[in-house]
Amino acid sequence: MSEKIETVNNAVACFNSLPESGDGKYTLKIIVGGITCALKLIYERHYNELKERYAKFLLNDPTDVRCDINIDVFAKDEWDSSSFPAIDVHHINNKHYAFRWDFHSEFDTITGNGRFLSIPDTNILTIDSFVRISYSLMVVLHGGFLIHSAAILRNGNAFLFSGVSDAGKTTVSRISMAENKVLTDEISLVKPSAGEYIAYGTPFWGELQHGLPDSGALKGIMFLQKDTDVYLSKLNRKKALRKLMTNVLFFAKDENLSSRLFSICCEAVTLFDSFDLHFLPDNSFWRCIDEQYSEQICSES
Amino acid sequence: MSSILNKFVARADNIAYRTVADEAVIMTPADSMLHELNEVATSIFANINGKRTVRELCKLAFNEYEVEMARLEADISTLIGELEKKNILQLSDAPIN
Repeated sequence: MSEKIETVNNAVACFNSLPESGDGKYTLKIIVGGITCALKLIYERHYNELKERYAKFLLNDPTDVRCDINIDVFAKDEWDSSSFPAIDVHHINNKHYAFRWDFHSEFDTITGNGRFLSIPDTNILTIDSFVRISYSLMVVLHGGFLIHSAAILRNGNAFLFSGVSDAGKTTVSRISMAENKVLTDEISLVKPSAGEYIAYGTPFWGELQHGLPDSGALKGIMFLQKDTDVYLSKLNRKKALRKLMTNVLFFAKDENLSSRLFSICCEAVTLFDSFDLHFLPDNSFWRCIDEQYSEQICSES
Repeated sequence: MSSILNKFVARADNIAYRTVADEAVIMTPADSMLHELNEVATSIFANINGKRTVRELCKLAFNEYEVEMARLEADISTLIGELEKKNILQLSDAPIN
């Protein structure tokens, strides 16, 4: 057995010795894009910090009704941080594992149960990473996806501005805040409803530390290109599909889920427009978008 | 080249694919990689059913495109070989169900 396989097997095995449910006394519930999540936390500090971070997405439900996602947090005093310098994902049937230097996690896509293991005084960003991973898996089962993008509501319609780090998501969000509703500057949740896709804000914010629990019918996705000129370049469906898949958050090597996500993305690019948005760091790009969509509205009518 | 021409060829069971604007986009789920075929490769890919050999695929393409058979056999053999390496296709000495 190679050293790597043994390391992974040992990491998976650490969950066999964990109880199904943790001893967490502090339960926090959130709702993002209609998908509910309960976090059972051990430490009051984690509870308070996450409560603040997710403040706009809290679900006030004191009952024991299970959420779509149910995460139990565990702590382990001794920790070998050298085995997984970067995130490493595996799955055994419906159980998805993510191992990183600062946490090990397991998420069952059938039950929606997750177990998260880290050092006792872990940073809440580590727990937030696992919440994101859990949502990225669960949303696929709801026919949607998480995507690296700002989501902005303009006149009731949602537009996504997508790209990797430093593509300009935060810049576009900051510029747009005065006249529009910025739902998120970092990660959007997209899900189908009644023949169209809806973009939702998330608490998985970036530099702006801004997320709103609002949503809108998704009209278009703009892949950000910093430039010295401002224009939109419409993408054909093949290019749109490739760019969409590149920017979707997905932490699994599960063939069934991957195929499902692929089908979702194929469907999605037929239901909203995709563009490369060449932009300057000012609000001139909105003029291009307004012109594009006013032309569409005219031609549709 | 002669050996591959007599092989039966099928699409791998686990791939996901869609034809978008007459060109196939294929995902190999094991690595979540996207692979794109041009229009000609897509029409060859569409004829793959596990019951045809590479040579039969060449004959179908010969009826469709004005290209010498020797050239077609070389190009299609290369294409099939590349797609097999990417785990998109599987080859066999017998028909594949």
